[in-house]
Amino acid sequence: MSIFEYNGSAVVAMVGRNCFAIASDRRLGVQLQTIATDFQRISKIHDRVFIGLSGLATDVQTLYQRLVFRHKLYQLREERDMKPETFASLVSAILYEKRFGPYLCQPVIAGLGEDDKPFICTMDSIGAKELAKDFVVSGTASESLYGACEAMFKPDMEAEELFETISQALLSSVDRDCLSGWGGHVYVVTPTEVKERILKGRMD
Amino acid sequence: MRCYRHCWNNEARGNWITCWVGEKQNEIWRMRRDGEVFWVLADEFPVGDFVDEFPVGDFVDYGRRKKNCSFLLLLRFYFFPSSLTLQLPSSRKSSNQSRVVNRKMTQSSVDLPPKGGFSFDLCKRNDMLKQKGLKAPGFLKTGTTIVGLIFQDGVILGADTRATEGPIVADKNCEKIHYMAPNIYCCGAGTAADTEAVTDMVSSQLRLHRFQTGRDSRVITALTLLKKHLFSYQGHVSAALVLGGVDITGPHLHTIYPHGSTDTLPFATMGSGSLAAMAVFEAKYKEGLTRDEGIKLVAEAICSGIFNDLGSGSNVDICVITKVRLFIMV
Repeated sequence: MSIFEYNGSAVVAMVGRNCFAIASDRRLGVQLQTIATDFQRISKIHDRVFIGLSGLATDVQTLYQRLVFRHKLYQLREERDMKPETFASLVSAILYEKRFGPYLCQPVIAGLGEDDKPFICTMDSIGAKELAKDFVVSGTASESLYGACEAMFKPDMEAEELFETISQALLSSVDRDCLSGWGGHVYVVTPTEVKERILKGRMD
Repeated sequence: MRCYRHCWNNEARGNWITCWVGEKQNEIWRMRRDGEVFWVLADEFPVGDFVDEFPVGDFVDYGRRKKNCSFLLLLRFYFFPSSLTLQLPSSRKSSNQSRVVNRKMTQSSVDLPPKGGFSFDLCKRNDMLKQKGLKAPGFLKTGTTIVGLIFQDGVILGADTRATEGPIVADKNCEKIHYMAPNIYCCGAGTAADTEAVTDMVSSQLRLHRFQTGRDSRVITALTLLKKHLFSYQGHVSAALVLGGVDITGPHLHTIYPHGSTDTLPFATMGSGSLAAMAVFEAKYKEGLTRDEGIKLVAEAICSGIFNDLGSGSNVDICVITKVRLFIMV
């Protein structure tokens, strides 16, 4: 069994018109046993940048704490928040530093940049950035997510339609994956507000 | 039995070690104020406390009662080999069951970002996970066909745009032609993180070199910097590169292999689609190609890789470098 399949995860981010959505499943398991159904995989770095981490849960939490620390140092020095592109470079550098003994997780970074332009990117576990203009996926359900997102995605969706699309893509993909699921956690971020919603899905 | 460990988040070392008090609160307080670190290694210590604050694998046997706590000492030697001193405190001589390890906090750098270069502190934990049967992760590879050729006015580089993660296409349009200097570009195949990191790093070094010398960078400089780095990591940094550019001495094209060997060639291909592309070059290349002929040939070679090699696909990126101006076509 792969180390990424130890805890199970599914994270997806999509781009809309001046907004983005990032969603994850909520299961935390130890191989085939579920031990939590409310695990937080998506975390806020600041109001306009979110990071979702899939993979080994302990590294998810450690890496999140490290990144919050670095961002807070940045805020103290620069007296402003990090841009999403800068944050993505920071995550990539932190992951590549551990090239030969990596953190076993794959981040999905989503943010609103200059002029409210949405930015999403994902990385493998050693920091190879993969920018996309439409959607990015990560986790054990990634293959299903690729398929579902390709089929359901349309460019320039508004916030509500984007929420519907990303929720449908997430729920249908995790239904095809034993290791992820138990509902969903969706954040839809526009320049004016952040809407956090919990999805009810099949609890199996 | 009492067991103390000191708590600090040592960003420079990348470790998390949590403290808790076995018995006396004020002893812990004194440790922090001095800035010194004390461990009392007891033969037995409480089970189960603070397990969730340790990353998996750092304290593998923590939580199980152990007769002999020397693994804690081993960890100290592992993390801080030079600064470890062992002292038996006079007040505790009577106790055979515990030893104090005294370390100066001032010798560890706390709260500083890492100094650069690779850090190996998760290797032990990842090896432990591998031994327990959990397979290592696969990295994003750029399956790839990358080519370069020299034509009469300069160099043309070409690459496909598919990035794979195992059998899945992770990125349908990734950029494999990396900027090194205004007159030098580099195509990368192999592990995506390695090609990006190594080209970024050498690009910065070239920039600094340009500031120092006040001259345009030469292709041979980039070549030497890349091959030195790759050789020193003995092929573990898995980046196969096609480096091309035009400098004061003329157009140059080189290939660099992950172990650090290089070739200087009039036309070159690398990556999983290299055989398909090389077949096209060998059949149709001639010296003194014009710009349009060169672009057509490079596009044909990449397409050959795209259609015949499963690891390459999507679009063709072409970069033409000449003495006067630089064109990038996507």
